[in-house]
Amino acid sequence: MLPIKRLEEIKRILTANKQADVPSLAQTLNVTEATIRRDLEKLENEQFLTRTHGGAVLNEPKHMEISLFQLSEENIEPFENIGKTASQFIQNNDVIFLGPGICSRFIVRNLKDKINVTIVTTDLMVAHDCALYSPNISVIITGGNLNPTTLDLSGQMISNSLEAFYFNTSFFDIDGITMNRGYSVSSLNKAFLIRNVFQISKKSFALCPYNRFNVESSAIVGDINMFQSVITNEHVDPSFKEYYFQHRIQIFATFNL
Amino acid sequence: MNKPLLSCKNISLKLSGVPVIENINLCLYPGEFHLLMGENGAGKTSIVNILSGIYPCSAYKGSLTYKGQPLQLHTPKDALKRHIVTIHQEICLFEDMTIAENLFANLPAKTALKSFTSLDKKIRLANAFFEEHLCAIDSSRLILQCSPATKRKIELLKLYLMEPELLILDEPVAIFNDYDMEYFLRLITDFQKKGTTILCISHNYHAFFNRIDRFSIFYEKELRTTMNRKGFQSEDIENILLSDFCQSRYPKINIEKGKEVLCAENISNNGSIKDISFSLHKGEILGFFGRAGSGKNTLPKALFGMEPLQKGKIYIDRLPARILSPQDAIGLGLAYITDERNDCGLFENLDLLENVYSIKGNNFQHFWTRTSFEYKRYYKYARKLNIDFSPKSIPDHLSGGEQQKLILMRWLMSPARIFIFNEPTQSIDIPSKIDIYNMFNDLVLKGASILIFSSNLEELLGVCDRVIFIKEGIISGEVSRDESPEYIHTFI
Repeated sequence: MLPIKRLEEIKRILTANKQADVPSLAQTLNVTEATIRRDLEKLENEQFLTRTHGGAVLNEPKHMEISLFQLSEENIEPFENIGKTASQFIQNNDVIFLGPGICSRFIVRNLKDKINVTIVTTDLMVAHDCALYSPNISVIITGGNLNPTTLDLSGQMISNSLEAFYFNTSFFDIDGITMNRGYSVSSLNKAFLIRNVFQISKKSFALCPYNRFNVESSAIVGDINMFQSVITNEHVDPSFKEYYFQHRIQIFATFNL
Repeated sequence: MNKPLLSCKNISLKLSGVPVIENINLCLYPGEFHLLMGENGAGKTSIVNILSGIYPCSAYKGSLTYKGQPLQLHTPKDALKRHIVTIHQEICLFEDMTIAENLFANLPAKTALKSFTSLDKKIRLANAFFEEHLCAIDSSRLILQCSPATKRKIELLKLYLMEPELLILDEPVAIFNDYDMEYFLRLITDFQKKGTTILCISHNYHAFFNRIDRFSIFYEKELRTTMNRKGFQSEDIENILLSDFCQSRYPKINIEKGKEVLCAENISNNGSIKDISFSLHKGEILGFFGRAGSGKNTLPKALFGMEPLQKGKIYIDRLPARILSPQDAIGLGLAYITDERNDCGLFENLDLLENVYSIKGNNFQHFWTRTSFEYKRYYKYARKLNIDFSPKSIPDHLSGGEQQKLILMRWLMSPARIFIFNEPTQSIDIPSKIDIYNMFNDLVLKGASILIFSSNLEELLGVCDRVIFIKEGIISGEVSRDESPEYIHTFI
């Protein structure tokens, strides 16, 4: 094995395992331990890793761009479940709108097997996840002003480019639901966008993890009877379940058994 | 119109915290025949139980007025004293006494026999009484030797001796065939001539449709409307009942059907199932609807090996299966979630942990029980299903919905893949209903298949891919979820 190839192999092992010890590296790559030590030293100079006694630890990348695209691994289970449930409502040949938010990112992760689905979104993260997990999906990004912290778009350009569409299904991340004030989101731009797209969709879903019930956010989207279907997860306040059922609204609260 | 004989104002009833009926306002005028309609669980029987004194006046809210006086019933005897006579859905006769003794038991003073009348004399009198009403019943037999239809006939004929002023009939003819119906019609005519007010609950009202004066429709614990019968056809009424249905509020995920997992061919037993064939595919939810006595209750038990089958074959994964006992069924991957949660679903004397691990396949180590592994697994599932009870508490502390979830939890831990639900949402609160509907979705997404037997048609149309209608032991029709339910009433 060429040295350059060997360095890449060590990089790969380290990225996968975050750490490695010299004897096992030597065994896997079939070279002596001394060679491995020299390789690790080289990589340490590149600031790829830090050498420790008998092995090496990966230097976690601290680049801003990458951490933006990666979600913290904690508390993603509710989103995963919502994404799985929501993806059941996307049929082949559909044109779908995905609103900005984490739930939407988890929807596009489950679309590998769909055929001829078009997704329109204002969230660059959703587009990124779609390209990464479900490259078969065609993605359309509306134009607009970029919000540098959340990487979603807003502004007049969105309304202009949405004029051309009629959506089979649209999904919206909701940031707060209360009985009195209905659905609310964190910014006026987002609320305005949701109200617009709601008008041009055949069917709309509100996506909302259980902890956003009985929470108010700043911008009102609509009253509690606005959406005909709500997707959430198992620990939803029972009073909401009862209200929705009596007011003929579908509520999906998956258990993911 | 003249003054009402009986009026109910704002009657609400809660049973162990779950509302059963809410704000019922109902008037009965002297001499009218009033029919109560609505799905099972809509609250019809509860109002009957209030009027007959089974729920004492302290149990419900609201007021009753009878003949202009407030009516407060503490026991069923109070109702009888006021000549309010009820025929309940279940037969209420003394099983190990003779027909004659039953006939003359509990009569009002006017028609009662002298005390210490010998049994022989009672039998003679009873035989004469039955002859008078053109009915050949040997009254020396014990009640438990009689068929259900005969028992019902005895109950109905006894009414002649009771002198009711308000007669309440809860599903009086569910077990009657056409021939027996004649007795019932004659009885109705006789009492209508006498001017008795009749309140009747029945699903097969077509036979006496033109005797009805007014009808009321119950829906979701409330009384929706009361109407005069004149000008309505019986089909119109069925349509009124169906028009209120809302399929779209049931959470339902459509998934692609897989291969056939269960198939029944011409199965019958020597009772209520005559000839039933159907097939169930992987990932499918198949519903069965039938009225009481149609075989809807026996079929799930037969599939699970609790009722012997006379004829027909069952195939699982396209291989012929011999299901002679529930053990066989469990071995083949079937699960049965019973409608009688307290009697057959849970062990009242065992704690929750032992209840959950009561199927053989659930504990891997058969010798050691109560291992940390079992507790961990219990907590994992309990947290998912929102059951906030310690594994050491007993099933009595749980509400209906929680009990149902506990039974489900037991089967979810087992390797079962064909789930048979009998009345899955009977008498449980709405949030738990929603949980159970969502669990159906979870199960089919996991590749399971589901059979649901229910008497709630709206629910079936909401959650099932197909609904099969059973009538008198045979299949009378089938609709799929997307079809419009206009002609459904012809199947029922």
